[in-house]
Amino acid sequence: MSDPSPISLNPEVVHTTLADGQAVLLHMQTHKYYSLNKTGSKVWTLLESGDSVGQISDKIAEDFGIDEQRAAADVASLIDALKSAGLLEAA
Amino acid sequence: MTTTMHIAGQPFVFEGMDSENQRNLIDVWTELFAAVESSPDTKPITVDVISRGQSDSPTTVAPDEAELLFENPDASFWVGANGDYWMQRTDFNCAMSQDRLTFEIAPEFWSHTLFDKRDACLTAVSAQLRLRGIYGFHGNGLRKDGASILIVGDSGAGKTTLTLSLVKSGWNYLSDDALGLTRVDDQIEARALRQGISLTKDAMERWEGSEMWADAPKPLGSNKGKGLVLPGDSLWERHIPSCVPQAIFFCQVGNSEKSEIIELPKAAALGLCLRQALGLWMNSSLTKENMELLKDMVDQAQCFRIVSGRDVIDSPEDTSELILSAIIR
Repeated sequence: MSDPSPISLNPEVVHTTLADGQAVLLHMQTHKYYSLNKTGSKVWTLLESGDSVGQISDKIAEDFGIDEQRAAADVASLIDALKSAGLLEAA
Repeated sequence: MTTTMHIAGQPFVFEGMDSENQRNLIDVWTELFAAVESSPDTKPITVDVISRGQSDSPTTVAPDEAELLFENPDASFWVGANGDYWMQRTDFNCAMSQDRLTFEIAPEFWSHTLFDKRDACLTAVSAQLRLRGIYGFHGNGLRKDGASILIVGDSGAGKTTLTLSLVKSGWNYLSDDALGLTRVDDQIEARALRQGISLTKDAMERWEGSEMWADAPKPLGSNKGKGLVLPGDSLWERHIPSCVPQAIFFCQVGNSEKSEIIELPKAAALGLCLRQALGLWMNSSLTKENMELLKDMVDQAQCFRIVSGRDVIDSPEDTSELILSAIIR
């Protein structure tokens, strides 16, 4: 499971969402870019609006019609990956 | 006497013309930049050229309160609170504001290779154009039968070869290697930024011998043994100043007989565009604007990867047909 401690977006990351719902993140310090699929993009937007990991999992389960356990695991896994890439940081 | 050069639709005005540095700079710019006529209400950018003595300290420097944006072994970039920029090198400083571009040039600047001088000028002018919402982009532009395309890729990916192949099969030509991207009426427009084309002597001979080029290539002094050539009459007849890209082709060199085209997901296309954005890392607000502009361009266009085959050189008509058939119009 993901660390339940509060997280925030790294202010050095610039993001944009394409018309097809996918997103691209650009890390200003490492000069690396990352793409997120539609679900990942939704998670990023919810993180940006200040939702907790629990709230995000609930919304993903509802929006994408998947069970809550799977949504929670998928969101936790994505957040871990975003943290590892330095795109998220401890609040 | 006043000289005005229209670059990416912005009038750069040199006044006086009384210094040798000013005339030399205009010569470099004439070889470097393609003219794109400005609309009548575009405010001019006054270009000042200050000559610095060999042992003098530069005077065109960022003030103490300016923030260092970017630094590499050749140059540093600074931004002031009002958004003005400064670029500082040992032999060449410049200050950029909305309506004024000031160069301070030391004599040793002129002893550099054409490639280095060109690079310094392109960096400065690109930064100036960003202040007017025009973002430099490493790519080529072409148009045929109402279809406008960009050819994009890293150095050595075959952009110029593919471009010249398409020109040979009747495409109109925008610019080689450098474009200015800007918003016009909710669309992203690509404008010609560079006049000269850098290529090898072999490539010059391959593409219609001397008919396409104005003169023999001038040695660049770097850039993989390529020379700088200026378009000749037949290439200028095909020149267009701008286009709204409907398709973007990200190219790479293959070794098959025929070229292959594969549709690219938009997120991948945007990532590849970000790699080719000039000066992307200046500061986060400009990066954000540049990224949004590239995103809108990718959204407005179809995006493909093209793996160039031998047909690019052997049968340009086939390559042209392949590209046209991929685009939905």
